[in-house]
Amino acid sequence: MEYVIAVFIGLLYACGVYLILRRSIVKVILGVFVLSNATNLIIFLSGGIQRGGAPFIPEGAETVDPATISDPLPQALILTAIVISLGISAYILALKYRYFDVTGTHDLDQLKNTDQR
Amino acid sequence: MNNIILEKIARLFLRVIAVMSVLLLLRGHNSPGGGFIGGIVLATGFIYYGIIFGSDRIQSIIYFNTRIWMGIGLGLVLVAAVIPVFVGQAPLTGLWYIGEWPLVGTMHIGTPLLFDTGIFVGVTGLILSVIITIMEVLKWNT
Amino acid sequence: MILFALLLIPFSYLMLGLLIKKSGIKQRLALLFATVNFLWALALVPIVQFREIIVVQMGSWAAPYGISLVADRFSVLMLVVAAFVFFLTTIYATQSVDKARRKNGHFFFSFGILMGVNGSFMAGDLFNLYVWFEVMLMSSFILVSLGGERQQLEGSIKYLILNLISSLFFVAGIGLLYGKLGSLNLADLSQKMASATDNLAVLNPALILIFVGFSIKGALFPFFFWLPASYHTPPPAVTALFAGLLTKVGIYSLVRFYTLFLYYDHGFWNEVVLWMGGLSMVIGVIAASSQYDFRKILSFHIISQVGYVVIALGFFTVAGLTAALFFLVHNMLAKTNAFLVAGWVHRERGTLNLKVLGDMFNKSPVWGILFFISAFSLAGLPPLSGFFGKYLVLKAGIEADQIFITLVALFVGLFTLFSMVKIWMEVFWKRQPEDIAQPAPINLKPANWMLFSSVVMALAIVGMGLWAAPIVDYCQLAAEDLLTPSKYIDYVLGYH
Repeated sequence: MEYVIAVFIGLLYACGVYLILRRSIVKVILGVFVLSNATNLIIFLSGGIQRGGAPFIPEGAETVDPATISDPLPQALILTAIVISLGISAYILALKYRYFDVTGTHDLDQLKNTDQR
Repeated sequence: MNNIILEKIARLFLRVIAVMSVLLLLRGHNSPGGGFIGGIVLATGFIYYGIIFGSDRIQSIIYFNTRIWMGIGLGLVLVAAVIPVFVGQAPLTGLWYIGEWPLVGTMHIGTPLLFDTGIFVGVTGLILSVIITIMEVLKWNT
Repeated sequence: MILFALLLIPFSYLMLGLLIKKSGIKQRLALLFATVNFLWALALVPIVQFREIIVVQMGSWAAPYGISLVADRFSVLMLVVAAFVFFLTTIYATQSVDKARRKNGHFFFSFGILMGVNGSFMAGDLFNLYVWFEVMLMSSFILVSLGGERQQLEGSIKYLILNLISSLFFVAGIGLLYGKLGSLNLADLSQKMASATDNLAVLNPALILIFVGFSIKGALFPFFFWLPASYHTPPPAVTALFAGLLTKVGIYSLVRFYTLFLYYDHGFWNEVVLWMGGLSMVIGVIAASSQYDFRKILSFHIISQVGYVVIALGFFTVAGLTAALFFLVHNMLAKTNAFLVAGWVHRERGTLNLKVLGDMFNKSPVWGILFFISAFSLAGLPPLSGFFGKYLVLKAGIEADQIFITLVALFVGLFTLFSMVKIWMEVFWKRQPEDIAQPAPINLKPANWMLFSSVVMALAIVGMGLWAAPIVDYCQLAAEDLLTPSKYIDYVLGYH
């Protein structure tokens, strides 16, 4: 299972890199989203994959064998990363909207006005 | 949209979702759940309501401006973080008060619940503020 | 609590900023909270001198499992200087930033930056460092684009995308490191790396990813493009705040990461860092000398100055790290002040194009002298702070037998002087060109509070030059702490 997910992460990274190299800003933004999801999957994979072992100590027991449960920390980290990317997505889309309002273009090549002429 | 069935369902749906989100908030300390998820669930109820009735109606239900709600959420988090300092513990330490209550029996009340309530209110406020802004931009007021 | 308060102060401001509607009250509260934050950070100095490393375990969870806030001498130094810069830029912003921006949350988001900065200076584990980075970045994204002018939007798109990618590098690195070592606490990770020295090579991908992430944040040589593309677009008060705080957080994290993780393989990394630092210095200063915009020249100089800090880190001796810390502090002050003066010029003349400007010294000799102090401090003239910064870097370089890079640093100093003299001649000294159309001034009201904050900053620069000895001593103690990671580990994990 790890290998499948690893290959999948690689594919996502390829898609993301392809998208952020495009000229349209919308595609660049989509590329960033894809890349951030791929990164979240890396964190998920880093904790190891465990089938069906929720990280809870059963009622009545004092301890639990760490080999039988999944690592809760990466999941907490992913949750945090997802919340952060929620905020960033909202902001970046608003920024794109405003940019389109002001300039009427999607083209990254039109972004040269702030560079030195 | 003027559809009596949708309107009835939306009203009912919001109430059911509200109860469910509070349930998720409360059971978050021993079972899956918590303030963040509760807040998101509540916000989805409001989104459904807003799609049918428009963002003005959401605003009139939640009474305060969404930023006030976010502020209240942050305030609750702040209080929950600071309370342990006054009893000589490190900030954010979970403190519990276990007491007998009429009707419900033994109940644990603690600062983590307060913290989660803050997250609950803050997340709801945040998502609603995003939704209301988008609806205003799209002029989605039926 | 003593450390937690530094997060609490900006957090309470954020809460009150959401609850209170009147922008006049918010502005007064911002000044109050910035003052309190500065005083609190200052109060940490004697405590850290006495206790060496302050550790707070949040939520009473013990170190490798919980979240720790750690402040050693280096962190406290950065906290104090950041609080000082923040305090003065807040005063400055009350007059410099226009009313609409202040009403739409200029102070709110600058406190967001302060919270992120304070948090990253105290973060005791990698993931929290990432979270505080994001807090800081989110606020800075909004500050860059607040106002929504066309230029700003373009600058902020570049700034946003490149910084997001750097965060992704950083998180991917954290994920890989966690997968290999199973911990996130900086001290715990460092200890695990110390005991696993034989197969450090498997960690290299993770370390390189994190290193690249920090380098993008700190605007080092091949990764600096976001900085000159965006820093000249927002209002000058915002640029001053960014110049003082943002890249410096990247450099802080790089130093922390270097002394805790790359320490175990520093033979290899010293070379990398020296090359990157040297190239940043040279490229930054050459690019700056070809620019004709006040703020763009200064932005490119940020890159070049960061290079000095990084080569001093690459010498990897106590003297080198002392020089790096001293230079970092000097750079935060002098750079911010140069941008503060740029803000005044922008306010008076409505433009920052060197070809259009002229004759500003006659208009206000005081501001002229303020620019003189900060610019020639950056160029390294005695008795200003920059002289001692450069002197320490060069001395450490010669002692570490890195003659070539030391010579490069000397030449870069010459070019810095050239750029600064260029600004001085073009903006302050030459006659106003009469054949070029002049844009309208933005605001002609007297700028007393702007002047006040710039004067205080200039006094700090001069003071840092005249009384350099105690600061150098403090930096040396901090550098010694940094070069013995076992001390950090002992304090954080509670072996002490």
